Amino acid sequence: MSTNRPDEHVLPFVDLSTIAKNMKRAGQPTVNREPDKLSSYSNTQLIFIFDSIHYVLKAEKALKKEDIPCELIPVPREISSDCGMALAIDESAGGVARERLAEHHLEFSIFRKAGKGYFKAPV
Amino acid sequence: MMPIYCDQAATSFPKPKAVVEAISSFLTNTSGSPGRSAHRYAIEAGRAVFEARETIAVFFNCPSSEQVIFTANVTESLNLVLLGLLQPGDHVVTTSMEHNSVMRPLQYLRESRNVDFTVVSCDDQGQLDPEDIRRVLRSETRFVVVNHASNVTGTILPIEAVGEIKGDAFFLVDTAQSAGVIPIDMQEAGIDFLAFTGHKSLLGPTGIGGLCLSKDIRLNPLKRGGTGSRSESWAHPDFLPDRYESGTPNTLGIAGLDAGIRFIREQGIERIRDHELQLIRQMMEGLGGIRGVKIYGPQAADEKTAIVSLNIEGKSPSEVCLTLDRKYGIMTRGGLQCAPIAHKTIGTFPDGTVRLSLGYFNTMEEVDQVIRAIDEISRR
Repeated sequence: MSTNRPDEHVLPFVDLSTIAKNMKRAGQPTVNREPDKLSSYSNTQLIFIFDSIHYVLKAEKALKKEDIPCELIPVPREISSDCGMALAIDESAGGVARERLAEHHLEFSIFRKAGKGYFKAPV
Repeated sequence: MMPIYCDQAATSFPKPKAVVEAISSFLTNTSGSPGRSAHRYAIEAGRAVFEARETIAVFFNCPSSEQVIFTANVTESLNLVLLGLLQPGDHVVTTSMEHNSVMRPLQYLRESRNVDFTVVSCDDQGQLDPEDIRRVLRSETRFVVVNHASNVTGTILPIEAVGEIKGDAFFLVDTAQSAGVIPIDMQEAGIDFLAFTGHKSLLGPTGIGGLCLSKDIRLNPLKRGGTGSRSESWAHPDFLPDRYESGTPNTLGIAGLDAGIRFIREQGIERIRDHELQLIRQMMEGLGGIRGVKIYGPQAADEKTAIVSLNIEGKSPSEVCLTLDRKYGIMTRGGLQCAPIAHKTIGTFPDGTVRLSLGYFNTMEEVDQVIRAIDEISRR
């Protein structure tokens, strides 16, 4: 399954909290169904991108079952122009999240927010 | 006169309260478009669709929930498979108890794509000998298509046995009449494509059905369009489930279907089947003693679903159905029930039969009233 995503490029930096603010301004509530474990965005974020909302929700279910904190977010515009969703996972949980998702035969690509943009990270 | 609904094989009624509530709650509280945005209503809708897929995958033992595809009904599912895979020169084996939802796509493919098909004859009870399928298999046989339970007689066909002898051909099973009342394990039965409808014994609303795939066998989709994924590209996504689902899905139907299957799971499919067996045994016993009433299909209740197909001597099915409805408030279906080949098999073509079909919400008292009504009509 190819991901068709921009690769290894340094993309313009946009802070996730800015996205959230802009969405609120546009009258669109940010996703906040579960207690917001990642809302501070204090640590480095990994953004897990999937083909379809089905896999995003499947991944979220698999991670939540094991108490691995994750949050549903809109796919940042810098990663893709898709209208879909992604999972934001704290980098400290990245390793275990990768393992769990692989166990569920889920395919994904990972972007790492660092400095001024998103970098494609190894899966 | 309390109306008595005996047309459960057409669509089940009433629906469980939980189904009505699931749909109503969706319309009242969270009617977002699933998979199209990341706002909370869209996510709620997305979760409803996702959870329904998970429920269905477990229910039929489909290997993975993305292999559950939503369609409008079982007819669309059957068309998706047959039109999506068959090529000129391919051969299909099917039975003489199929519905037009199989026969018409096959006839279309015969005329338009030079696809050949062989219809294996069932006996006059509608029963299939799997050996008869084995005998007509060819190297170019691409599909064996079997109706799990007849919508005319209720006859339950031996899909597990067919799954064992079908060879390299794909096995497509139409579960319109069986899903929700007879346990189906698609992996155990060797089913490659399980087509289901949501509004009969799965107790969901009309307008929702689906297809379970044993693996990602690539079919040509019936439609292409917006999926909420890969929006930057004009190429339609090739991954499941988006490959076969474009346009806003029937989220209400999906939520209702999920609630229907959860209801079945809570009640227990064995309990549902037991209740229907009791109803049908009583019905067969009561009708069996009425002079001039001929019952078609298996005489043993456990060889069929809760259907009694009958005729009254000297009276046409349409006349009997009309009297049952207008005079007794008993709703049935007369004629060919969209399955002319099944009626040829049981010897009731072209007039058809009066079909009484029962469900989990029918009662023994209702069965007694139906027996009395048929008895009265037969004496006139």
